[in-house]
Amino acid sequence: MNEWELVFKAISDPALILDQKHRVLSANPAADKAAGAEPGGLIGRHCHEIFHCKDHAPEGCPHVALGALQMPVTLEMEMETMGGTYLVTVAPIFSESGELERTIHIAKDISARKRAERALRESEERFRAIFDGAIDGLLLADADKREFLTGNRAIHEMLGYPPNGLRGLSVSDIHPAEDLPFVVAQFEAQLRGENNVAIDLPVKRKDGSVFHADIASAPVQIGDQRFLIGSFRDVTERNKLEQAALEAKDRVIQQMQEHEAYVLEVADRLRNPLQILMGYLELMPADGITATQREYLEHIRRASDRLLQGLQKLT
Amino acid sequence: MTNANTARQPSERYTILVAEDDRELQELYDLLLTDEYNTLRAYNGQEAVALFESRRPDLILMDIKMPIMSGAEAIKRIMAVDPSARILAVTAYRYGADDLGVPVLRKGFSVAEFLGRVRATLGAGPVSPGPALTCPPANLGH
Repeated sequence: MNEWELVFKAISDPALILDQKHRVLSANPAADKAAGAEPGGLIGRHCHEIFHCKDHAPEGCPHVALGALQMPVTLEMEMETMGGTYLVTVAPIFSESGELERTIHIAKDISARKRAERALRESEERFRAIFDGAIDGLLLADADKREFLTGNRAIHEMLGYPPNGLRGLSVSDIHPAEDLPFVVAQFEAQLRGENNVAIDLPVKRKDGSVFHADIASAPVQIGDQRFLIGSFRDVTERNKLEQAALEAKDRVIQQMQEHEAYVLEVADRLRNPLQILMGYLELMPADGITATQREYLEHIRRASDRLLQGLQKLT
Repeated sequence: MTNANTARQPSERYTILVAEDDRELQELYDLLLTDEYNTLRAYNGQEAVALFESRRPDLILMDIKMPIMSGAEAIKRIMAVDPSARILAVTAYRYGADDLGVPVLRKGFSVAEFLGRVRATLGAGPVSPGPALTCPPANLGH
């Protein structure tokens, strides 16, 4: 066994030498093992038949690409029979006259890396979906530079900026100038973790209009960098509802006061006729009337007493 | 309803100006007072001020809520003319008479209470029958 053959067989990744018609001329033990073949069992068979279960070269075949480019090609391929993703490097072997005679294929299993990448991508997509799907506006700021890095869709819509339009802006760009001292003080307090919710802060849109928002925030440390993530909740509707509730309450109180005043006014107005009734009852002579008339008068007197007592209770 | 004043001749009696816009009440007050006092009638604050200035009654029974001019305003004007004027505010209302600096009788009173307060108010200051009435109470068109 010559030197190159020793090296070829020692390669831990599957390695093949193919002729120009994709037939296997040599296969190292790692290739035999990956294909589930006996030593030498791959010789003479087509690469696409062994690794892709096809009777022709698959789309994106590096061997085909190399034939066209006449130079080494590296690309990722799904290997159906091996159930994974491989980074395949194909290098040409030229004859002494410079003709492309053979190609050497080395396939490195990158399935684990691809799975990790896919998981990371899916995770990022999930978080992005949550981030962008949030109804509240979310804004990430660089705590040291005091600049915004990114924000979700809601914060851009809320503030009237195009996607990524908030990048590089700062607190002073999204709050009215007259409120900045207070807002900056809130921002600094939130950075220190002293206060994580600022209620009903005025916020300025790109067009200069102002709305109010509750801003909850939390300091975040990623590596050596400090960030502040802020959650903006537009409280315009809430404020309107609160204002409407206050006005409704005031109206009810006013109506109750008016009603009470009306009742008392009526009670007071009743005192004049009652006074007349009481006065004449007292002046009514006790003599010269029948017992029945006296009894009726007593009923009237008691009724006027009750009426007076009722009016006195109201006042 | 009688006392020493009852026996007096009309020219010797106290004169009471009753300012009250309720005519039925005016009738009742008249009935209660005429045995003992000369009475004058006013149906609003403006008439009360005018009668006070022309007749100088010994006591004014002043309703508070009246048309044209309230009793409260009339009391202020009368007190401005004569701070020693005897006034008893007689009102159906709980408010409006507290800060006027005069005694207040709330409607809903008995005859005895009414006459008692009249006598007390008359007796609160120097008692001297008013000027002799040489003509009947002014008829102000009521």
